[in-house]
Amino acid sequence: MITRRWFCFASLGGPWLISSAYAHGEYGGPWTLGDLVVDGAWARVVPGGAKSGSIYLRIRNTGASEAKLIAAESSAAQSAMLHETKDTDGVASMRHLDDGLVVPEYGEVLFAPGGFHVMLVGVTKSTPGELLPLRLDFGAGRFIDIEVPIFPLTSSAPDGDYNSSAGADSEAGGQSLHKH
Amino acid sequence: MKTIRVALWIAAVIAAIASGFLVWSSQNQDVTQVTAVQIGGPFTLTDQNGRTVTERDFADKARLVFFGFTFCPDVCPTTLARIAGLVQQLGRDGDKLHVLLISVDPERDTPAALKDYVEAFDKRFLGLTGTTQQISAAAKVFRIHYEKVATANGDYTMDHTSGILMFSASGAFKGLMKIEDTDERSLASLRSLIAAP
Repeated sequence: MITRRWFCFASLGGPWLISSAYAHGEYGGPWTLGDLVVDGAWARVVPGGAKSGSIYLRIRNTGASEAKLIAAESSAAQSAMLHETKDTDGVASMRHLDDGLVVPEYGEVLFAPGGFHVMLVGVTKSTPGELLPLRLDFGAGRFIDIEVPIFPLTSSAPDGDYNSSAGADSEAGGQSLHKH
Repeated sequence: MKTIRVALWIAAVIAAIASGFLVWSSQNQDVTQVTAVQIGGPFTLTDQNGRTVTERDFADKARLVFFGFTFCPDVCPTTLARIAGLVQQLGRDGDKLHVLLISVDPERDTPAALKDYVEAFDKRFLGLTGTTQQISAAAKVFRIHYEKVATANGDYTMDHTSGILMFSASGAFKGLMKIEDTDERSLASLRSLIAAP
């Protein structure tokens, strides 16, 4: 029992809000497709020795019907996958979103460290300041092409406040369901 | 006949005492096991420069131990970036701390791959890998769970305990660093970790 006790402390409580800094202007976006708005896009530079990275962003749905992100692809990576990091008793695991991800009507979905992310494998572009091309596929021929700014490695806190969450509301699992 | 009977009695008494002792000692062992469950202990691994290292090589400073892997796209870089940011803010005190990333993916994480990886976050960070047996032994010592999981693209990823373990210079486990804490709180806990015996 004692061995398990500290695992409980390890609960990381869903996505770690890196910063609310959507207002900083350095994040990518907004890009719009009908009722969908993508903003707050960023990727951390892939450290030397690694081949995988993540893209984080926010998708807002201003319309009255739900949308679904079904896939992502990037010409700067071998593959792009929609993933979710889950924390179970302190053990982090990664789940592939086989069925895509619903963006509820009048709601939003936040991709943030420790939660949803677009995982890139075999990244070919990885210099801070460069832009990573990414296509977000919403099905039925609907897609948004975005260019994601690459941030320096230690940029998990671009505004110096790791835990700042103002404006970037989020609930368990990284999905925020704000009805306006 | 009488001597045989006496001898049997003596044997029985000895057996009873012996079994009683066994029961007592096994119970006693249970007690010791429960109270002495500890996190951290001996390990033998290879660092990013290809040197064989043990826990004794890090006994001069307080240390943060994190298990991860270089193919990890989200949790590991986020955690290491967080630690790097904090260690930089510690200024000179940052030198009084070892930061160890122990790979849960020794198949792909060669010392060279780990070197590029950890040093990209901070030149002082250390990356440890080893044989699958060495990694499994180290994970047991630190009470870390890890598991290979297949991914949709035919590759694999690793599930792993993601806590940052804090140890004082003497090797005493001081709990987990909470990644979601504010800078202020995290820096305070790192400073007290460095100051702890």
